[in-house]
Amino acid sequence: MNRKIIAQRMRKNPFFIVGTITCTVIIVCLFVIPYFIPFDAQANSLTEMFGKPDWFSKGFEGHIFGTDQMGRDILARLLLGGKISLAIAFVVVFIQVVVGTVLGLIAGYFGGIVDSIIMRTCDVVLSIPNLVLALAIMAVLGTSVVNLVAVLSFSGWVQFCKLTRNNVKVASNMEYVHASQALGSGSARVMFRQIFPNVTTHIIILASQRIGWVILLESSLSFLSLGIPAPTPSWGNMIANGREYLTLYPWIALVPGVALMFVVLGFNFLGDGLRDVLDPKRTS
Amino acid sequence: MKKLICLLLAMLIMASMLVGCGGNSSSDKTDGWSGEPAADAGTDAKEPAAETGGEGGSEGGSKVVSIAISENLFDLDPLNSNSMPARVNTFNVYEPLMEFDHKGTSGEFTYCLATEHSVDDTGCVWTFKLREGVKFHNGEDFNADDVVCTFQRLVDDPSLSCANQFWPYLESVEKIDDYTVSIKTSQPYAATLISVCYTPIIPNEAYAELGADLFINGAMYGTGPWIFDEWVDGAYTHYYKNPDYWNKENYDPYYDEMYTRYILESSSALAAHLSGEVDAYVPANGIDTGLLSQYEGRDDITLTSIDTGTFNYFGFNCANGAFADINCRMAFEYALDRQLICDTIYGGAAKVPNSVVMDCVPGYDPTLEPYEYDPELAKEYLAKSSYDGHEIVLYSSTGLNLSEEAMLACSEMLNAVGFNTSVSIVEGATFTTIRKEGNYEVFYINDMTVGGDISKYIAQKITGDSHKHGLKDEKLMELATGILLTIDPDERAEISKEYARYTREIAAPHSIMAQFNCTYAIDNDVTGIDLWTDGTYGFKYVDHV
Amino acid sequence: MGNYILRRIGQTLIVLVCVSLVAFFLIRLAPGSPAVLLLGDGATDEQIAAKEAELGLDKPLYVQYFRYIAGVFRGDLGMSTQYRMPVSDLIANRLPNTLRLAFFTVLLGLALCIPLGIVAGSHRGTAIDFFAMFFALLGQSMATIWIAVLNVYVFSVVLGWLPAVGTGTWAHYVLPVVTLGYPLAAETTRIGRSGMIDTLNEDFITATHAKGIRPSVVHWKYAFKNAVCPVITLVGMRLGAFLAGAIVVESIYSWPGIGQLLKTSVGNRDYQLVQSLLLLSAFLFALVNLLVDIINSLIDPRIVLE
Repeated sequence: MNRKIIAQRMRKNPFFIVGTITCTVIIVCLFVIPYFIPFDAQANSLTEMFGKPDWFSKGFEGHIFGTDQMGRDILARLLLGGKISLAIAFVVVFIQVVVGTVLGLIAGYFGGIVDSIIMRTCDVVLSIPNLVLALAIMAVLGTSVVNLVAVLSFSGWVQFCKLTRNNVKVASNMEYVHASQALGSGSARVMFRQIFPNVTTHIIILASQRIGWVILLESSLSFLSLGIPAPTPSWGNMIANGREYLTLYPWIALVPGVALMFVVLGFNFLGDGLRDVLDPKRTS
Repeated sequence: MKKLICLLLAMLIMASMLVGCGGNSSSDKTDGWSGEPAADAGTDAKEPAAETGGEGGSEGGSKVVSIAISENLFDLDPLNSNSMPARVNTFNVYEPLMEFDHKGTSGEFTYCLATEHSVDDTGCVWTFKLREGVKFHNGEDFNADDVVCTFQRLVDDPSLSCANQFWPYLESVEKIDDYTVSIKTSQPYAATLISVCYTPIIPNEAYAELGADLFINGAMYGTGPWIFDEWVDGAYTHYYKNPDYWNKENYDPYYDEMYTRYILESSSALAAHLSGEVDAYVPANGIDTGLLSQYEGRDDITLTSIDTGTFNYFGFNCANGAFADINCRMAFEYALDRQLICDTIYGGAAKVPNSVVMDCVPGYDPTLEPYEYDPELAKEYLAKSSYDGHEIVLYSSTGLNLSEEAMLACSEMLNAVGFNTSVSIVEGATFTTIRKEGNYEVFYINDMTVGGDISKYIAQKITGDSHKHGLKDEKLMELATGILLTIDPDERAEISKEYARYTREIAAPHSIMAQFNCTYAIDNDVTGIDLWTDGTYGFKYVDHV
Repeated sequence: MGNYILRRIGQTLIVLVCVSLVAFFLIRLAPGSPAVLLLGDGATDEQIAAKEAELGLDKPLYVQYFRYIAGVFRGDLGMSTQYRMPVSDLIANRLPNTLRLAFFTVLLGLALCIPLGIVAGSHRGTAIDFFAMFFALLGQSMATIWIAVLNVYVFSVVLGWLPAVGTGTWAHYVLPVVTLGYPLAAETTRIGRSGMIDTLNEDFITATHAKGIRPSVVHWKYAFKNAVCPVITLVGMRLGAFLAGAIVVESIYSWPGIGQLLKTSVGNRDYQLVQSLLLLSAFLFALVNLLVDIINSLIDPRIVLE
């Protein structure tokens, strides 16, 4: 597709613009603000528990969003937790894309028994609900960041696999693919050089929408004490741990909740915007 | 045509979901949430005075009390009630031979289904005279056969929790006449009477018919003031008042029905109490101090604080790893600012005990000082020790309230004196396994002095070594066995004192962290909920002002 | 179609066998033995060994597995170790609660999605469209626990309008259903809207315009039918996975359903119960999806069941 058209659509699409700006601002904040605040996200300070937010009355010296049940600065935790939540989301989606796309390509290209096996595997994974799978796997493996990434990746590649496979089915009947095969190209080459480019648009769209999904699932796992283990913060475990204090010290749960909402909203906007922008069916 | 099929299919999905909904309408009315506008007048917790004052209002309507607790019920079997909800359920319906105030062996014992008791010179044979004229809820008469049936079941199946928790030395039971039985233990067990109080008597005829299936089927026939109606798994248990209760002259409850509700999410439970959906909130280990101020300004609810014998402790692995070295244990003990943790993380609702023989236990020694916070001394001990700087994992369970916070604080204090610790809060079952296999260096968990006595703790955790502390110390074992087998209260108290001093001296196998003050919230007009100093509670005698 | 259904049933059976294997081994890999958890701290090693023998856990794994499968075919799901009750009874007690919750959640999802999504899709770029999209994106951006605890806080604690926990009256349904239904409605609205947009771009719609049929008729009679298929597919997927989605909500609202049961059964290493719940979940998932495919093929004749 023409780059010019895409650039033009990007400029015109409000969802894309809002999404991009939100995500960029948040990511920049996550990396820049920590240089300004003097607090360690993991250092307890039992004499300063449940401190009220100082907002900006003391500049960066005060606890801008208050302190939590261990006297830790919420802003510092928010920033560190955000980095971790986002890093996990990106890694997980990347793994899902790679695994899902490769398996989808193989299933769609070879068809027959290979296709059946991969598709039935997808059905099995799909028919065990994400959270249940996570609950069981985390109980087996124990909680750690690596295990969490493994669990989240494992439960989400299926959508990529199915999407790729269905697109490959259509694409592999194209004449140029047959031509390439007739010219003696190997399977791998045909798969990745001829067919794969046809499905990238769909994968990019789905991947951008999955970022938010991963962050939300992580928060549900945190509620079940299966998220990122203490003392490392994540937005999920900040909400989960702060929920008990909602009536008295609402900032503990509200701040990460709002942050999480904005990030996921940003990525959802971005995903929807990307879909409109990259939509191959549209001509204008 | 296609539309029709389509519609039919859609209906099928909906109908399959509504199968359950069909049965809903009838249970709607009997669910008895006191907040609901159904027929049950006189229980609306928000305006108790107005409701009960109008005499017309309560007539015909059933008076309902609803109490929220924080754990789920799993098993109805009265002799296998391992958890608080199960114990509450059991003792609403069933009764033991004797009851007591949960203040240990020196507590006050009263007769329930027994009227007299005696013990022979060996301290092993206990004889009970039984109350006459008592009937079970199924109409069966209470007599010696029922007691024999109950204890015989414990003898036959020592894996029942009542047997393995309370009757380590039970040998046999014998019927002397219709209203006299004798129970024989293989050792003179100090806490026998306490165990009697924890043993509910089941009806022999009904039991002979069905065995343990009796309870699984919900055929709960006891002699108590409440008749079991139904248990809805994950939601509540419902009881009716027993109109023919034998002890009616002393206890004739105002309420016609009682609900025990299982609400695991504390903020939801609190919300339910504040909005009047339940009349009392009595969670295990009390209400989190961080939440208590929600009750401020509520004149209709009373907060009751009890200094209990529930405690949190560290268990050392004294056979392997760093803590096999006494200097390491000593360093650990002095490195912790327990008072700070009690004041902050536990919100002041905890105090630092000097040993497991706490102030609610016979044999408490007030002159014994707890370990002070002394990081310098800790460093000295650590320097003397063989500790090689390897990472020590502090294990705790997700099921323990505030475990994460407490462990993080401790870890920081320990690292400050030179330990290298990290925190691992694992899921309950995994925690149990780690402990059972001795696969740890140190763990953190709670326990309680059930019945105000440390027998159960000693039998399981010291002499039984169910958590694999691995300590081979003859003097400790001798003192522990002494606590279990000495019947004379004064002598036993002396041994307990010595035990406390000695465990403190060797800093093993456990390090006691905090003893809790538990706060419960109960509506002003509800009385008779027993909140005992051992941290347990009972609803049997619930009543109304 | 008969052939198709038979083949799908065949596929489903394969999937169910795989799920049963996964469930069987997964839960057994987790540290912790049901016997230890059941007997508590005081149990001796002999008692634990005896209990394991009683529960059949001392047998080789393949024997245990085939015993379980043989039981399933006889309609016997085994005994729960923690509850010491037949698994089928436990499920029968709780399943209606979860299904009721699912029913009203789906109802709410559809009731919001159909007007919002369809209207937004057919009025692209208008204020309605923007509002619908904002509603949808917001709903998909909030964590379940977050919505749940906020709901309890606002509607039960501050306003005191709705009960926070339990079942019984209609009021008890409101908070859990809203918590589960809002994200679902958000998702379906989005799908409905884009389905509508896609359909309106298709040739047959242009043809209807050319024929001079009124736009409102076109939208509701022709386009709607096609746009609703992806919505039904999505609802089917979510309904099928409902057991899990409800774990969090059932825990917070103390709703005695399957999700809560699953959570405690994993915690208690209640092997038979976990296996049966996962199997049940997979079965429901397959069933709902089969029905969804059939419904879709009836609504839109272009979808061929193959």
